[in-house]
Amino acid sequence: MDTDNVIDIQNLSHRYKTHQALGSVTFCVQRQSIHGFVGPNGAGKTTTLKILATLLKPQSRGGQSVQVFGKDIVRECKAVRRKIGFMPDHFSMYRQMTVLEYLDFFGAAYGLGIAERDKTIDDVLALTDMAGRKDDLISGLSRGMQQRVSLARVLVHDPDLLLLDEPASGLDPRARIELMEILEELRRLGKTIFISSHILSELATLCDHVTILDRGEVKYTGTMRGLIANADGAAAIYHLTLAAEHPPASDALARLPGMQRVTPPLPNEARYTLTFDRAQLPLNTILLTALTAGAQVVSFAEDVKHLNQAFMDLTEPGVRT
Amino acid sequence: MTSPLLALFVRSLREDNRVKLTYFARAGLIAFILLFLFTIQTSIGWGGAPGLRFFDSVININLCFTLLAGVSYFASVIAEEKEEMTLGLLRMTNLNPLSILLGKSTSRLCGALLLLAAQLPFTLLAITLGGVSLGQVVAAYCALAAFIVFMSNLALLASVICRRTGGAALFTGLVFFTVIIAVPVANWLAMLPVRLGLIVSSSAWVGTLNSIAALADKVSPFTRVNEILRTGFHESPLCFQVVSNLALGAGCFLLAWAVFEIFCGEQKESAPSRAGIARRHSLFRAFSPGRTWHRALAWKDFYFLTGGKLVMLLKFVVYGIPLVIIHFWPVALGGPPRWKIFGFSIVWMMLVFMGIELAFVMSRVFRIERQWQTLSSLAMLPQGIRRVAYQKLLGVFPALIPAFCYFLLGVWIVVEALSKEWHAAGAETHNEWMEAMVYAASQIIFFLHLVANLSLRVKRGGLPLAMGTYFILSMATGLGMSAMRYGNSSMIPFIVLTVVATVFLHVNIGQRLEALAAEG
Repeated sequence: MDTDNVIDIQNLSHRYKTHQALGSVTFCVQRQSIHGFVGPNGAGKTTTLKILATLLKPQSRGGQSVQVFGKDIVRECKAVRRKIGFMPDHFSMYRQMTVLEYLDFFGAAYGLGIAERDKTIDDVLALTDMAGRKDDLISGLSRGMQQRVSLARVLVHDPDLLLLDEPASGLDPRARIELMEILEELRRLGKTIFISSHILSELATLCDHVTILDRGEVKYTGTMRGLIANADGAAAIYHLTLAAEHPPASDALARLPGMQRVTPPLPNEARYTLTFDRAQLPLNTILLTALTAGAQVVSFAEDVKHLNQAFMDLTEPGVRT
Repeated sequence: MTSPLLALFVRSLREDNRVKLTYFARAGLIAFILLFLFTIQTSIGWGGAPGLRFFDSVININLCFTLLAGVSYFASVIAEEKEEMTLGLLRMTNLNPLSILLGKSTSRLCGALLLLAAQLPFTLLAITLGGVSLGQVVAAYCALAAFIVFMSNLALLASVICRRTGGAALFTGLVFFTVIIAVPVANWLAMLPVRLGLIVSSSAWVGTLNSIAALADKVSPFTRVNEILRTGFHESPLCFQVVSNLALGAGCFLLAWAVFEIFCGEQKESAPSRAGIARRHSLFRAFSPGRTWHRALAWKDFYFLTGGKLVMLLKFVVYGIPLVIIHFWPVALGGPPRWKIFGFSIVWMMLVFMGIELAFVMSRVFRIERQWQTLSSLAMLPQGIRRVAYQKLLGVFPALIPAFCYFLLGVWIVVEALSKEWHAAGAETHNEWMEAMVYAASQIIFFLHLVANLSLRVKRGGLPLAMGTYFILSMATGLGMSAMRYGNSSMIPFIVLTVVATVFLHVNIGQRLEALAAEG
């Protein structure tokens, strides 16, 4: 196994009584990354997350393996549990407890001593900005705050891998943005985050890697950039926006070796679309050619498609039967 | 098209008709009656009015199950909607309070009455067996049906008033027992000043209390059933008990309708109760949970399931009161009892209290986690769900300390007398005692496992269901025992059978917990 991989799933399949939830799922999650896990309803995301969280045992099949930090999740279940924190897609809390009692309980349940618990609880309360509400009953908190407490609970035993199932579901925009900021901070602290969500725009900005699952099959796994870059093999597509339409620059660019196509701009918009062979033609050469021809460059950026489009392209329409 | 008033009612009846459980329940009930008939026949043969004995038992069991249904099946009718926060959704539809009450409660009442109707043809066999007449059978079922109407509507009222099913069950139980206990208590109170020589028995006050007691006695279905089962009963089935129970049922329904807006008008957060548990900065911080113990799950269940230190203190007081009353019972009223009898009273009372407490706690210990969807968080702890379950049980035992302390006091009082009896008895008696004790212990442990197991399988009413199941199983065991006792066999096969069944339930609880944790 690659030591940089925190999660390594090979040929995972799972069947419920009436349907096959997972086909032959294979993907990896790299250390200290935020890895998005996307798919339509019924794609098998929660099943995968539950298997990773050791709540569901993988059905034994030849060639199948699920490892977390290089440990088999069935044989070394206890060791895996110590290194992961799982936040389910529903509020799973003792709402009659205060925030402090709740975190103290989970700290003790994970075997932390009193001094260690005090320190960790202070840290997670500061991280989730809940220190001022630690003596409040959980039942009296708003949904966003309950989600913060839930995240604090997941962090209380200092896991290296966080498995988050729809953490932003039901939160208002402010609470969602704040949650995403906390996740960014957690990545800076060295955590690996595996996050399942339906809010694609947020995943696009937050995640560096993504896996798209549809009907129990992996449709894409890799970098987010690789998914949204509108590239076909070696051909790259870039947009060059000039201050004004500039035919000499356009001609000079078209003559460059490796340039495949220069799409002329639309009326009133001096934006050229360049298709070229990335290996043959360096980006600096393109820019230098345009500038030498006398054009005033406003922007030069790779063409990316929205994650929504990538998702729609990769997944099949309709509901699973 | 169904009118909105009856929409929910008709839907409930259709659902009941579609599910297999309805038919299994009816078939199971009939199988139970036939098994019961067989038990009676094998134990007393065809002599000595077996029909009356059979019918007497069936009717009394029905009364007990109606009572149990009142505090479980009927009491959850509106409260479960409140707990699941779905009552608001129902209210947003075209359904008015009356249609909700009719749909939710009356359909359950119909289901219960149909269960009664299903058994009627089979209990008519009692007439053939001898000792009971058709008039008695009809009168008994009329009394039962009226009692069911009363209990279901009393529970409906409780369910409308209370926010949680537990509260509704307690309310129903308390009101019913106040009515039932009012009979002996009123009688006793009426006679107390007379017995103490303070007033004469002919005074108006005594007469009034006696009248109230007599009225409450007439309302009681237990008294009515006793009257019906007497030889030579020839009264009309429509008696005061039937009319009063129906009137009380109608009254409870109308009251539930009247107060529906007040108690169910707005949807309230149904967070679990924190009664008796103080916060760490409050005036009563001595009763706060403080820091979590090393055994975190035991700490959680001691405080948040059994009520913690305050409830424990209250139990010391509540359990102690009857003991003080018995100990200082006035000589004029025939007391106080002898020291040895007092000791035995304490032992038995505390055993009963511990049994009741354990049964209640076992029905909630896992159900609460399931209800609040917290099993997945617990299942992810490194120790695993099975050890989590054992730790949770550790949290239950401190709650038994008050009853156990009094139990030890009782044992200390009777230990000398017991020791004498033990030494006086022979080896064979010793063996029989030991066997009986092991059998009783194995039955208790089996029952507690059954309660815990069923509480993980049904949404509500695990305890009454376990009681019913245990009753049927113990009847079948009793049948087997009576058959084997012909050969003077020991209880050991039954102890082994109980242990095997307990182990099966034990393992199954673990599997079920894992499955529920995975369901999320």
